[in-house]
Amino acid sequence: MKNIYAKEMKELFLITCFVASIFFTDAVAQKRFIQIENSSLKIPEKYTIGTCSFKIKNMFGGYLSTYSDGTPPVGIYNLPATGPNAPHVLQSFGIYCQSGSDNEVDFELGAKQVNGQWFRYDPMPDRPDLMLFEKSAHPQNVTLKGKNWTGVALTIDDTTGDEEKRDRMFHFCLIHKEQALCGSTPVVWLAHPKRNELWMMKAILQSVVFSDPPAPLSTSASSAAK
Amino acid sequence: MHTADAGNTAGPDHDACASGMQECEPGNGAYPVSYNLGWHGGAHLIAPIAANGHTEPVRAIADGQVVYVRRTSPHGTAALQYGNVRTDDGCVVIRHTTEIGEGDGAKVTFFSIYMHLQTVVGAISVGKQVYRKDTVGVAGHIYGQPGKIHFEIVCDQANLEKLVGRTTGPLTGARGRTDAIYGDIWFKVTKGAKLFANEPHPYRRDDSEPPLGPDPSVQSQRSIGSTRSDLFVQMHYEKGDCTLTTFELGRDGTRTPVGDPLTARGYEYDLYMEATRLNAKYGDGSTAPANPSPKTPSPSLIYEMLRFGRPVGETMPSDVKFGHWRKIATPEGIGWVNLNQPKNEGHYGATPYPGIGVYSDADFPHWAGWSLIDDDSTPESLCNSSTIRKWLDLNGDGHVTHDEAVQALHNENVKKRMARAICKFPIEWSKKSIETRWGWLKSPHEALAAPLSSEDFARLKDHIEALAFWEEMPSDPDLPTDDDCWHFPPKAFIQHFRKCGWLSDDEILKAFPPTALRYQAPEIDLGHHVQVPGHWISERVTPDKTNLQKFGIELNIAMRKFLIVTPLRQAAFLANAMQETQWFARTEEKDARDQKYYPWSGRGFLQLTWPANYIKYWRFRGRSVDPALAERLNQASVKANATGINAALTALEIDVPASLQAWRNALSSHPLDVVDSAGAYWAWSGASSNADQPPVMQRETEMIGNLQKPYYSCQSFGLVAATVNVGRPSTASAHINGLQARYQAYTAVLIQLMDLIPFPSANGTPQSNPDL
Repeated sequence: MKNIYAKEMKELFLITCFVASIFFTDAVAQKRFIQIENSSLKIPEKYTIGTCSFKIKNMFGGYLSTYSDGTPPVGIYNLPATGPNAPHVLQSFGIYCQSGSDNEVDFELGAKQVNGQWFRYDPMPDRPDLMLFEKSAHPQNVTLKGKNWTGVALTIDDTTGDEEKRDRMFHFCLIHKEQALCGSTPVVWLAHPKRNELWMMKAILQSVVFSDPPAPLSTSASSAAK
Repeated sequence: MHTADAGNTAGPDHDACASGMQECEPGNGAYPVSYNLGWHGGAHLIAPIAANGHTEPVRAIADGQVVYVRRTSPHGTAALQYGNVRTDDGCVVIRHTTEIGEGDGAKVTFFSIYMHLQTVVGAISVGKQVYRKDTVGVAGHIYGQPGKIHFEIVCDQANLEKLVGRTTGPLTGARGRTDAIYGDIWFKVTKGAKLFANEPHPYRRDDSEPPLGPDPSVQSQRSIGSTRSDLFVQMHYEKGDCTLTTFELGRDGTRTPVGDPLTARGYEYDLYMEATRLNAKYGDGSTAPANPSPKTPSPSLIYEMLRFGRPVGETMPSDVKFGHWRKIATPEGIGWVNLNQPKNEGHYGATPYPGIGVYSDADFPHWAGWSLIDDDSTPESLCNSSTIRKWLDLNGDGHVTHDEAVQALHNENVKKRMARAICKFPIEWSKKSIETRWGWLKSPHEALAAPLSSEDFARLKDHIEALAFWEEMPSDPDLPTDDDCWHFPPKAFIQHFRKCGWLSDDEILKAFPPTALRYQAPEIDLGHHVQVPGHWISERVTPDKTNLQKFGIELNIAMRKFLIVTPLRQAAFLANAMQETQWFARTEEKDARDQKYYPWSGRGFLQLTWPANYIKYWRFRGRSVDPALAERLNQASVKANATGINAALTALEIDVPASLQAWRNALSSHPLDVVDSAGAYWAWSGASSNADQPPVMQRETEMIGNLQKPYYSCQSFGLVAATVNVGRPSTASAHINGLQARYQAYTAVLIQLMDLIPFPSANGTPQSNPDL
């Protein structure tokens, strides 16, 4: 949706006039919206998305917002869109908390590595789960190292769509015990391959440190206390 | 869940069910009892005759897995010659697991049984995945009558609870389920609800309360009456209108309409406008001086109240007063009633309401005709349900004779009740305890025309045993046991779940087109010479399953909220979303830094673009945006559009608060915002009106190399695509980005969601499948 300008400008004008008249009323921001607002302004020490608790550094002018409304919960790493610090390729990206099981991680990545080779992972009831990538997809393994997690990541090049707009997508999962933080974002516009911002993504993600929730009091401990 | 019927022709609106699944008459295989009062778990259907003179094939009603197959025995098999006429024993059972809403409570499993097939399709085998409308066989003979099948739908108790929302009796909950909401909305208006002659202000939940100030809209209004009995109000949205119909429920459970249905023309198409109109009344000064700045429900929350009769995704804060005033018919006359009166809730210390319960068809309300029949605990297949017997006991003497049963089963009121009776009784297809189940046929009984002799019963027993198979079914935790089995009225089941509209990930996945056309612009060198002429490319479509899994739930929730619930609307919405997001792979526009609208580039399932649309959406959701900033963004947008350069917008970025930037980013990653923004755009742009037009598919071709690649255009969908892409319904297709791919997606979704759409072949003759 792009060329909606004339109609929308007129509507915006009308809405602006209308909203100006009610702006100072005590409009109710719903609970979920308040959460969004707060989350974007504060930088808590520890973030929680679903059952994943972790720390992540604010880098390259970016910071994380977390949202517990909606399904599934999500974290969004906000990066500046303009200005000297704005990346050229990276966009603000979502991080989701998933099961760290092999199948779930493979599903998140859309790919599975077998004997060092990446295959497209496409589980369907009536055909094989693994398929060869198109040659031009160039699936490339990406090494990610973290303090208390194992990284599984790769890049996959677009093979369809407008050639001027194709990108290299970076898919990642940071696996910690039973959980994984996963997401994806473009790191290269293939029409301008010299500008590769994978290093920025690696730096952001490698700052992640999972924090386990405090262990619940064991039955024996609570019994002993009585 | 999407359902088709088991082998019927298309009717009005390409809906096979609308033309009526051709069920056999009572006494000849109707559900759920015979003339003799024997339970009958399914309905005998008559296969329609196709244009070629043959019967239409029997098709799967929904996606599922084949769990039982019995190929038809050869003619001459003695046990299949009961009554000296042939009954075919070909049988297929399909296990269906699908979703009717959100969460585990809405993940359901049921089984469909196709019995008396003359032929079972060779490719159908145990374990095979089948899809809705796949052919499973050919209708066979039932007691010598050709072209018929027995069709049955069963489930166990646990799945009944998920499908229906309860396991016994009438609907008594104070409010309806919210994990599954579909079809019509129902209000149970308890007696004592006040009626008013004029539409009250939404801030007033009882318009007889004192005036708030001088504004005419907040004056006290004398109630013109109050309801003297419980009423049931059905809210039905269809093709742009909203119709409210009131019913009273008689002591015998029959419902009677009260007055005429009240239809508000265009109310559905204008629902977004109505929500914003009501929202504006909180800020127009009309509530001054009593409360000049009342807490205001967001337009999105009001939209949900008008759509669902209650907040579903949104929350109604306890300090927000919102009267959901609608004009309804009552025995006391037509008037405005506040339908937002939750039980035990008052407002600002007011006396608690007696309560208006809000439900949907997903609750299978008894006042909509649904019954759960579980009052026959006997092991025999003679209907001992006192409920059913009461329905059949026309003269009320406490007995149901054979003649009375025959007469009652043809009575229209009884037929209506039977058609919506969900019954628990032993499965017909068990080899066990045949004597126990059917032994009553040997003894005189008031509903039995004549008892069977021992010889006749022995032959019947052999026949029943020959058809039985339940013990051969594979072990399955969801399979109902032979003596603890719930049966659905088959036709009503399919009609009912057609309203559901909730699509599982697999159902959405199947709706993607296999390939998409793309125009490759000519390659021109620095000397302006065309090196490679422009040409068409057909590319394989690879849906992004990861994103589908992430956004699938919110996608369904948004479609439900914004009334994108009919197959035609879903096809038009999904087809555009597929193309705009590159098959769900990108929820943010690629490499948009040079676009004139950057950084307000395309985000979400319909790629909201320009500050105006973002701000419009945020205000819909109740998020405040500084009007001065909005105006500056407006002026910057004008400049950016005029110059084609985004400098004015990017220069303003420093003044855009971090919270707004985060909201903007959320439109590409936050599952709720990604699809809710698309649904809101759909609503405010009025896309449904064109999506509702019956599709007329036109065969077109483009050259791919030396081959002609066919695809199907559709004028009504083209108008929707233009609305989505360029902001207004336009037939100037050249302006619509990726129109051919949108058409291909539309065709693919139509095939998945509709029954039969005629696609012209190369020579113009209609065919049921498109040329791909």
